[in-house]
Amino acid sequence: MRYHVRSVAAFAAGVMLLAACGNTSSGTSDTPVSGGTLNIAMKDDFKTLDPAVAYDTDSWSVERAIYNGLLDYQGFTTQLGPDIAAAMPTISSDGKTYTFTLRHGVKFSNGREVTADDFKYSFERMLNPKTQGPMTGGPFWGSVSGTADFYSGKATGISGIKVIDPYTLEIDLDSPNQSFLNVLAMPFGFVIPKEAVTAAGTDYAHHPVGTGPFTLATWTPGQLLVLKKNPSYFGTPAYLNEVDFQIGVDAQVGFLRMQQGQADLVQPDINMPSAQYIQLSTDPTFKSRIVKAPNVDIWYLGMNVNVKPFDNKLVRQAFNMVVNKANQIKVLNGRGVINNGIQAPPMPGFVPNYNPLGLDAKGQSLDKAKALLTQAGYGPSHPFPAQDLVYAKVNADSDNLASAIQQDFQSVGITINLKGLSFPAFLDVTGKPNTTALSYDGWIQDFPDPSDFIDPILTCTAANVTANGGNVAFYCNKQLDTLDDQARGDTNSADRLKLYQQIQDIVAGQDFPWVPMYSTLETSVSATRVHGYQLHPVWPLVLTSIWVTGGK
Amino acid sequence: MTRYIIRRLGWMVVVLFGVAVVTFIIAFLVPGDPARLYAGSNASPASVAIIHHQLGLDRPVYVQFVDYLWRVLHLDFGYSYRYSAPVLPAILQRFPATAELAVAGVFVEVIVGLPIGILAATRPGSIWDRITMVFTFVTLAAPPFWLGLIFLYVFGALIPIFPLGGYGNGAPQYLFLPALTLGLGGAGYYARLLRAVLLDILPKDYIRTANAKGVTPGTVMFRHALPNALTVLVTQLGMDLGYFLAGVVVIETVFAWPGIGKQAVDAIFNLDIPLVMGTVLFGALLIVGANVAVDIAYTFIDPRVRY
Amino acid sequence: MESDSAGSVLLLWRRFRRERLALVGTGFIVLLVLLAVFAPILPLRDPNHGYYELLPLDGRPIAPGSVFWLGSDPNGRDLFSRLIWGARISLFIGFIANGMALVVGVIVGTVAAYFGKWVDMILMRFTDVMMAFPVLLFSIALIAILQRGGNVLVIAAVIALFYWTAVARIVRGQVLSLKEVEFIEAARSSGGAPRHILFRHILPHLVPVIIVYGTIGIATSISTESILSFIGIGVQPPTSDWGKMVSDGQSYMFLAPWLVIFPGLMILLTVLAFNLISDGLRDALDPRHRSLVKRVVGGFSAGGQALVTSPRTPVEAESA
Repeated sequence: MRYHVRSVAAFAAGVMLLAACGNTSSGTSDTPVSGGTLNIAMKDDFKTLDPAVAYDTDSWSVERAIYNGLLDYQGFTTQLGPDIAAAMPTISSDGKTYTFTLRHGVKFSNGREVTADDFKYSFERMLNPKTQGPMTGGPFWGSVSGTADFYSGKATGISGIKVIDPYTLEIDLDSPNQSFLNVLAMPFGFVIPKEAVTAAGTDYAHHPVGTGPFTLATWTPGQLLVLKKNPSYFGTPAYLNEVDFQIGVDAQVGFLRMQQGQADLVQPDINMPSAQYIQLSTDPTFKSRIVKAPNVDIWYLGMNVNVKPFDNKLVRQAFNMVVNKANQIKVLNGRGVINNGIQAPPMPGFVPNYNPLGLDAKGQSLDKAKALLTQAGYGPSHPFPAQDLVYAKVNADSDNLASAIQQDFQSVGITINLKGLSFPAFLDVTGKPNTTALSYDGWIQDFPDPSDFIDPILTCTAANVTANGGNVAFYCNKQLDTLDDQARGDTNSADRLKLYQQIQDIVAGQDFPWVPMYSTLETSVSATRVHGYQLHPVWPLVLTSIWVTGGK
Repeated sequence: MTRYIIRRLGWMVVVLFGVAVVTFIIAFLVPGDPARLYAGSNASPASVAIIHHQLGLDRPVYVQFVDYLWRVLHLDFGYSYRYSAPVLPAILQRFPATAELAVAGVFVEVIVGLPIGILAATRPGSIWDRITMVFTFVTLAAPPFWLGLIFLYVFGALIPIFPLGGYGNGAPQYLFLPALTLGLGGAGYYARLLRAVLLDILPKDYIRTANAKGVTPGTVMFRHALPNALTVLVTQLGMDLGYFLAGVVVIETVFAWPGIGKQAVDAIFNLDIPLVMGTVLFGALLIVGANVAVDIAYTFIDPRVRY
Repeated sequence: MESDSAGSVLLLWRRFRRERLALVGTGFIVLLVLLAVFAPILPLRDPNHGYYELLPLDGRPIAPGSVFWLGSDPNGRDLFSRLIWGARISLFIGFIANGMALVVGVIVGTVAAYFGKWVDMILMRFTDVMMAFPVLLFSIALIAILQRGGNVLVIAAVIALFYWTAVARIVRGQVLSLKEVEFIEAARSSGGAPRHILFRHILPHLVPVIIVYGTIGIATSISTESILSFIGIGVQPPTSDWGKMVSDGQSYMFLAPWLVIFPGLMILLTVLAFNLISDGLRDALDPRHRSLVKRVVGGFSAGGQALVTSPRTPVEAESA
């Protein structure tokens, strides 16, 4: 997910890191109490609560509370388990047919029971180009049989999604896909009732109906969104009676409010801004309440391999030796680790201390970089052309990080001009071929599987787009794609992880479409009356574990 | 009188047409394809093409313009990408907050500006005159965003007597600091304006006559001088109200006030051009409306009637 | 008529010298301009160089003291040096934007008033249209849409795009009254070419008014620019700019208040100085104050009631 402020913290595979990082939970061992209202300060209004459309962490924070899918991550782990499905699906021996049995008695908040037809309806609606959602046209769901005919309008339904009986759903794939269950657990797989969509007309985005532990009570755009506990929820009920999202509150104001007791959480789906992190980590009341966990993310400079001067591999290799990655982490107040590869530390198969280019502790090798630039034909008589570094301005730290990069390249005589864009504009210009040469990018997991750090951002398929691509380097190596296809269907997980490590060697040790820089440490904090608040390894916010004590 | 009013209304129509033309041209300078923004990231070229057609972007420009005018006449200001909703309801939903702030801002201008102006005018050259002079110069020169931040810092955090921004469902304590920041610059301006106008009026014959007749200075000020001076101020205040209603961008941003100005700025960063241009059009309508209203009102409060 | 123009400017200066506050303002601006112009050769740190090695591990900005006089920002850059270099941007945009607005405004105002009839009608209706927009919002939208946030000339042009209307109105009013003056009547009736009359008889008389409103225009342009940068669509980093510095510093308000206070003060003092100068100039222009100004300045009202004693641009109204 190319959303910069996406915050996902994982600790399933990050035990070593966790020990160094401290708490992931601010909960005490007190007995949970029911009731009360949680106040959350948010900067921006929610874009939409239509699960077929939303692809950002703000929306997902709310969607997770009002919807359910077939599967979900168990507790605060990356382990998938059944949700509306009664059990994990039976998978045919060729890995292509998934059969789900649904729980009985799961009800939408409008009182009607969920059946397999609702899933077929929700999936087809989500993949229908008319819905104008991001899953239309291929990503993640392309391996389901019959999607191609459905996209092109040849078929009115998706043949691979079959309702066997009201409580049995079958999904057929064209080829085995080891991460398909993760795909199903994404919010795009949430189930919604057809009658609510019809009733809402064109505005289902603001009138969501789901099965989750909460229901939407009111939503005053730009001001307030209120969730109320769903009395007919099929799972363990939430402790909270109500959750108020106060909209339009900037981070610095939000954290001040928290200190004054007027807010319980502040933009919990994004990492704490630097200033507030420094301030609260020295505050006697709050420093012990800061929760930390490594993010499943990678931050890198993307170099478009089709655009001069980055079509020259020597240039790309030289760039890999220039960035002072330690300074980047310093700007982030030390909340991160240098990463010279393409996978994040908590990901299965992550290689610790990966350093294929023999860089120093700061992530540099300036003399080698200069030598490579000379070898590529640049020198005093033929200076390296000035480059624009395109980056997204998401908060005060964005400019600071980009400015540090600029200074690094100055030290090898390369001029970098900074071009900060709003996030949508950034996506627009970096996603188009032959448009952007150099960009400051981040990739944050959609789901905790190594394939999510390759399929959408480093394959030829991802490079072969006209717009909105995730492969900002437009990098394409057939050998990599072959390995990736092999890994996708490989049922032996150890072999599979080895294949992904091989892919990492090709990218970070041989072709250099990126300058990998670092992976971040997620930090969040809650008010003193909040208990049981934890960072989830996949979800941006989990409300069901939280209870509150004391006033307001 | 009626002819004058009709002429002003006619002028209003002409100006609004011009505004629509300019707005339309700007909307056409949008980089990239609006359809792509609308479709969102990860959308396939096929679905972008469908939306391109749905938005009517494949028609000739003049057809699109006539269509645009027709829709604007029917109060259809377009469709917001960001909110997946029509633009005008989105604006109207936020408008009460802006209106509240605008009225409060004008109120501050008057309540702070007038006493200072009177004080300065009645004692020209005195220490009071100098102090008010400094006040007006400083408030006029202080960048509003900076002033707002300082107020938030001092009265919201150091001495927490006011909330730290936000709307609070219209509770008065939330309105205080934004309205003060908004009105302060104007207050200084009105103080100077009033001082200048009063200094012009006070030496006039009819005031001298009143003074000579033994009328108390207070009565002279409030019964004779001030009403005449106010007619000058009222038109300007009406104009201010129009501009404030059209969106108080900076104050709303600093204080997280959920008005149309903040909404439009957020929309700009989301490249939600229809919402931005809809707000610009809506604002222009209010400014022109205020203009005409003030002109017409002015013919009723012509100072000569009271001389 | 050159001597006439030179004479009135000289007279203006002689009277201006007596305005003490205005002289203080002038002194400040002269100092600021000198610092800005000579910033590259002054013994200052590079405003864009981050001394990361001096920052503590958690990246906390360094407080004012012996290392950095006015402290550092979160990139370890010298705030003092950035303030001085920021003056270059503010003053440059202030002068350029105002210059563009004056040129366009004087041309439009003069042409409209001099030729009258349908020329006047069309130009003034166009002016009305430009004045009908919520200026700040439109400027922000325009720069964002053009995606030229980093280009100071584009920023200046967008500021000028809305400020020229005020100038045009002032000049039009002035020229209309000049047209009635006998010596120009005489020149016209004796068959002088329009160009000759415009340049020899009318423009010189506009010089004092242009000077006064030009000064206000600089202040307005500088504060508008700071707002655009504060909103986040002005100059691009790492260029130091006062409005941008306040914006960047606001999240550090408690941790490092110097990051907000000093750049804001620079904007305040600079705008204040230009306002003092223009006020002094206005007094010097008409010692009895008001009458001239009242005559030439139309309000916003397209009806044109001459009610306002000083021009207040829409930008000021919106951002007050």
